Amino acid sequence: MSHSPSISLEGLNPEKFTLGARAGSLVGRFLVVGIVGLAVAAALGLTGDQGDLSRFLHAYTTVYVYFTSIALGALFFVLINHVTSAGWSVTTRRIAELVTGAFPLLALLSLPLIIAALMGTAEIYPWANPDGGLVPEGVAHLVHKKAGFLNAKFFAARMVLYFVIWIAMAAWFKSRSLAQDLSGDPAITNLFKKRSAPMIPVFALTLTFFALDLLMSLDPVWYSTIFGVYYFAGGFLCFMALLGILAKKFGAEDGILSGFIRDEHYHDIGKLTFAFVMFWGYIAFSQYILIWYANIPEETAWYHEREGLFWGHVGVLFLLKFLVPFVGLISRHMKRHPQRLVIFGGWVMVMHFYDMFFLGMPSHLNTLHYLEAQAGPATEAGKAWHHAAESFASMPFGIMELACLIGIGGLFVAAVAKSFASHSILAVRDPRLPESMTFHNP
Amino acid sequence: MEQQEAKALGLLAEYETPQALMAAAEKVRDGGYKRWDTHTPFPVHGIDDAMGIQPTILPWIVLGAGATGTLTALLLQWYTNGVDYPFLISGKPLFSWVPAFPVTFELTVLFAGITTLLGMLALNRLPRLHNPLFDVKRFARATQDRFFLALDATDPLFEDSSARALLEGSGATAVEDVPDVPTNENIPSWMWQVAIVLVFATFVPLGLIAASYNSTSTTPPFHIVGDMDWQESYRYGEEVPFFDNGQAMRGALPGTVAVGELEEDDAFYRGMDDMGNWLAVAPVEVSKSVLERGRERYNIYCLPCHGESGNGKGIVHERALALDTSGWLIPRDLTMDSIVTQPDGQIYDTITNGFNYDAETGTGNMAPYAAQIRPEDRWAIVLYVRALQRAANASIEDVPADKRSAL
Repeated sequence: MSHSPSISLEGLNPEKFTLGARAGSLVGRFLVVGIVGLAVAAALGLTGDQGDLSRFLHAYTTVYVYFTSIALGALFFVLINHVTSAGWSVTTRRIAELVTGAFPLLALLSLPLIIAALMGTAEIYPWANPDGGLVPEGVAHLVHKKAGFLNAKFFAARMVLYFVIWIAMAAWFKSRSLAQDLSGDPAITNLFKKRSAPMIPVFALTLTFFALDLLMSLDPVWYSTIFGVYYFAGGFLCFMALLGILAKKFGAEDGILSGFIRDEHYHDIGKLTFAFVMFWGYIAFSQYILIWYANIPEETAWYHEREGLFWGHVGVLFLLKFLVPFVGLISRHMKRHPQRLVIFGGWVMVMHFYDMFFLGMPSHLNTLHYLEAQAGPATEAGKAWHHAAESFASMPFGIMELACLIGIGGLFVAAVAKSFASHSILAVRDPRLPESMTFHNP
Repeated sequence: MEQQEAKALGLLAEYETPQALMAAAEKVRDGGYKRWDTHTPFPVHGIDDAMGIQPTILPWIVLGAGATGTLTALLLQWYTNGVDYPFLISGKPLFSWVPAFPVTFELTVLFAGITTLLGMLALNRLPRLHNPLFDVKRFARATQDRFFLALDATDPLFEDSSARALLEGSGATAVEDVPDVPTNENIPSWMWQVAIVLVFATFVPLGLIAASYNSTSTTPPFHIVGDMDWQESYRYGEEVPFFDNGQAMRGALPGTVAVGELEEDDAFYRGMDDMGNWLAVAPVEVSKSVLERGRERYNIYCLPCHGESGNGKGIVHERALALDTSGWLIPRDLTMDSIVTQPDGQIYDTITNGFNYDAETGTGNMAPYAAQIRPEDRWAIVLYVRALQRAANASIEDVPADKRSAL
C-alpha cells in the first residue's frame, strides 16, 4: 500500500542482526556479578545467625520465581503468537525466543530448592518435614494428608519434569525458528501453528503446578485455586513490560532493529501490557474478594500475615501494580510513545518483583514465629527467634534479599545475553515478516 | 445539463482499487478540501492518514463517561447501604472498597461502552435515513467491489471545474454529479405510530408492579429465578454427614481463637481478680446512662421472676404459685442480706453461669444468661441490682433533707 516498507526484505542476512560482542561482553561481567552475589547470599544463609538459613531460602525462592516467571512469559508469548497466526509480532518474536534460552540456567538454579526439600528443611517447606513442628498444631493432620503430593521426592521429580518440558519446548521453537532464518521454509511456520496448540495446556499445567510447588506450598495448609493463574498473569505481564523495554532498545534510531520495530509494535506491546495489567488486577482481586467475603480462618490467615506486618495493606499492591499502570497506559498515545512505554515497563517489572516478595517473604516471618513458639517464648532460644523476627520485620529488604537479587538476576542476564550474542534477533525469513512490517493499528 | 449542475450536491469519483483511492485521497487532502468522505466495501488500513483525519475526541468523551460510571457506582453503594439504609451483611463494614469494586468496575465499563457506541453514532451524525449518494446508481457497488470518493459542494474550496479536474486526474474511472433529488426526509407516520405504541407498552410492566406494590395477596410470590429462595445450603444446627461431628456449621479450629474474641480480661469477662477472688466492685464506670441500661436489661431478663423491685415476687413466680406447680423453685429476694453482702463479681457470675444449674439436664434454680446478655450489660444489671438493694433497705436518712417532707 502507500506505506510500503523503506527497507527491502529480500536477502536479509541473519548475521546483520546478531548482536555479537555487544551482548557477548555482558556475559562474563554478569556471570561474575551473579556468582559473587549468590556466594554472598549463600555464605550469609549457611553461616549466619539464627533464622538466616530460612531467610536465604525464602529470598532465593522469591527472586527465583520472579526470573522464572519472565522466562515463562516469554515462552507463552511464542506459543500464543503461533497459535493465533499473529503477523504483527514477527519482528519481536525472536526476542522472546532468545529470552527462553534462560531455561537451562533456571533448571540449574532450582537445585538448591530441590536439595532443601530432599534434606527435609522445614524452615522453607514445612511439609518436607511434617513433624518438624513448623505447622500449627491443629492442622498438622492436614499436612500429613497432603503427603501423597507434598513430599520431597515427588517434588524433586516434578521440578525435573517441568524443566525437561520447558527446555524442550523452548529449544524446539528456537532451533526451528533459527533454521527458518536460513531456509525460509513456510512449512516450519505451519508446524509451529500446529504444535503450539497442544503445547498450551501442557504449559498451563506445568506453570500452575510450579507455582503451587514453589510458592503456595510455603504455607502447606493455605490454598487458592486461582493461584496458578495469578502467577501466570504477573509473569506474562512482566515479560510484556520487558519486551517493551527491549523493543525500544533495539528499535530506536541507532538500534539494530531500527525500522523493523515501529510505533505499531509499541502500540501492540502496550496493549498487551495494559491488558495484562487488567488481567492481573482481575485475578488478584478475585482471589482477594472471595477470601475477604468468606472470612474463613484458614484462608484469611494468609492475607492477615501479609497485611498486618510491614506490607501495610494488600490495597497498596493493587494501587501500585494495577491502578498506576492502568491509568498510565490507558491512552493510545502512551502506548505508542516508546519512552513512556519503557517508563511504565520498568515500573511494572519492579512491581512484579514486589508482588513476588509479597507472596514469598512473609512465610519467612511465619517460620520465625513458629520456631519461637517451638522453643518457648520465655527461653533463650525463643528470645533469639523473636529477635530475628523483629529485625526482619523492621527491614524486610536487606543484604540477603539484595544479594539474591543480584546473584540470580546477574546469572539470568548473563544467560539471556549469551543467547542474544550468538543468534540473529530478527526472524529474517519468517513468511509473515512483510505483514509485520506493514500492518496498521486501526 | 446546466440545470442539473447547478443543483448538484457534490461530485462522486469511482476507483477500482483501494490503492487508487488512497492515492486520490492524498491528493484531495493536499488540495485543502475539508468536506469530503471515502466509501469502501471493507476497512482500508491507513485511509485515515491519507484523508488527513484528525484524531477523534471520542476517547475523551468515553473517559468522562467512564469516570461518571465510577463515581455513580461508588456514590450509589455508599449512600444506599452506608447512609440511607444501613444494613449489616455477614458482619461486613457498611461500606467497603472491596465489595464495592465489582459494581464500580461494571458501571464504569457500562457507561464507557454505551457512550462509545452512542458517541460514535452522534459524531458520525448517524443514524441518517437518507443519503443523497444513494441516488447515484453506481454507488451501490460501494458495498461490493468499487471504491468511492465523495466531495461535498458545500466545501468552501469547492468549485465545480477545478474539483472535477482534480478527481479526473486522480485515477478515477468515473466522476459523476450527485444530483439533488428532492426527498421527503420525514419519518413515515406508521413509524411514529409504532413508536408511540411501544412507549406506552413500556408503562404496562411498571403499572403492574405499582398495582401489586399497593395491594396484598395470599398467594406465594412468583419466583422467576428460584435459586435465591431455595438455596442448597445447610441451616444452622442442621445435621450433615460430611463433617466428622455431623454439624453443618464449622467451629473454630482446636487451639485457635477468632480475632477479637480472646476475652483475656478476667475482671471484665469473669468477674475475678488475678488470684481468682470475686471482684468486690464492678470494673465498669458508674453513670446514670449505665444504670438506665441496667434497668432496661433487668426489666427484660430478670423482672419476670425476681420482680420489679427485686423482691423475688415476679409475675412468673406468682403464676407458678397460682397454678400450684410442684417443684417450682422460688426465686431469690435480691434485696436480702446474703445477696447484699455478695461481691459484685459473684452476682455477675450468677447472671453469666446461672445458679445451681446443671447444664447436662438443663435443670436448676436459674439458667445462665451469658448467651442472651452481653458482658457490659451484665455489669449494668449488677449495678442496677445494687440500686434496688439500696432502695429496699433505705432509711429516711437516705432521702435528701429538703425532700423528706414529701414522704
